[in-house]
Amino acid sequence: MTQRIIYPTQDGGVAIIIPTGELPLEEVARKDVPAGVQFKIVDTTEVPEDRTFRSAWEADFSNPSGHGVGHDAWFAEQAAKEEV
Amino acid sequence: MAITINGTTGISGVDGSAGTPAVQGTDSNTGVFFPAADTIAFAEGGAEVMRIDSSGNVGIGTTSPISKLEVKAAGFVAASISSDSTSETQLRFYTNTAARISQQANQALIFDTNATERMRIDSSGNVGIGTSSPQGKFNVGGGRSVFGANSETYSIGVGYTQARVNSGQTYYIGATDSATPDLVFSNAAGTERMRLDTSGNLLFNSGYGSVATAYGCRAWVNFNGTGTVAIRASGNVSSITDVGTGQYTVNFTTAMPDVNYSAQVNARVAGVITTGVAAYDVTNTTSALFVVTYSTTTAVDCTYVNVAIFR
Repeated sequence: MTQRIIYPTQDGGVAIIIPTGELPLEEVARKDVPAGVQFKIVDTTEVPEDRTFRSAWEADFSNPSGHGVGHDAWFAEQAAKEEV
Repeated sequence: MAITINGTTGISGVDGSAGTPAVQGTDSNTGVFFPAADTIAFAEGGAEVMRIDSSGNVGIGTTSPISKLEVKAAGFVAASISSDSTSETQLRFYTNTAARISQQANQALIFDTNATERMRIDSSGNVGIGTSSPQGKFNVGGGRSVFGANSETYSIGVGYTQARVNSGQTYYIGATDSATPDLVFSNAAGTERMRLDTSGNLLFNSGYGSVATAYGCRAWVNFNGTGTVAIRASGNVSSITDVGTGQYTVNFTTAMPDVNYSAQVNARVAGVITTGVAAYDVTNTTSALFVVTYSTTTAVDCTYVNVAIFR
């Protein structure tokens, strides 16, 4: 995966999701980003390699790619699909 | 009797009856008679035993054969093909379309060898081998079944020959014996090698020393937490979330059944084993696991981070 999903954390930092490829990127974003939190899909080259000041990372989320639905809602969606 | 004998019609002029056949030998109630137009019948002891009707149908034990050959009796009836040599006896069909062995009544069709039932198709269409009451479309009872693959890639296939009803359609292989509903796999000698018990536990001997329940790793991931965080390999993990220095969330593709799973975590930096690795938050029930790696009391990014979830 050459792409990452980033979203703002509650303490003002930035969380970076590294997908494994088991699920499509968009599904990973919907599932693993907390419910209602906006995210951006970025290339790995946009994520700093130097993690010395990891807690100080910031990102511009003014133009998000979408927002997460969270684990619980996502799994509920999957369960509903299996019942059809 | 008015018998006519001439060079054109031969012997004619008398129809006769079953009691007094038109053609007879010294036994006056056994012979050939002609009960109707275009019909030939044979009598024994004053009773009709066989006829060829006006349609060319042969009836044995019936005066109204419904097909080219009908054999009928009030009780048991059989038609035999016998050989007194070592040659085979065969029932052959020569046709340009399908041949059919048909049970017309709402009864079973039974096949014997050595005068003993071996297989039947019951009135519902269920096929039984070694059982006279097949439970399901195909039921083999009374002994082992062997399926030879020869050059095929598998010996037993489970499939559906028509279009699927829906995408969720599922194929099942399962034990049907309600007394011992485990599904057991054995070698050619009948020694048990693997068992799927009725509770869904998978038991096998893969170096354990005995056949025992195998508790599987439900999720795992190996990743590099330094630089551009990268996953080396994983299973049942949709992603990890880099929350901060040394802090990661492992997100499961398929959720755990409950929070009582066991999270095993270890990490090291550049070949040095890092102590104090902890599963920080495993109460997030079915979806995620927080992992924090520590070196002394400070969170630190590790080159090798390994997480395994057992349940």
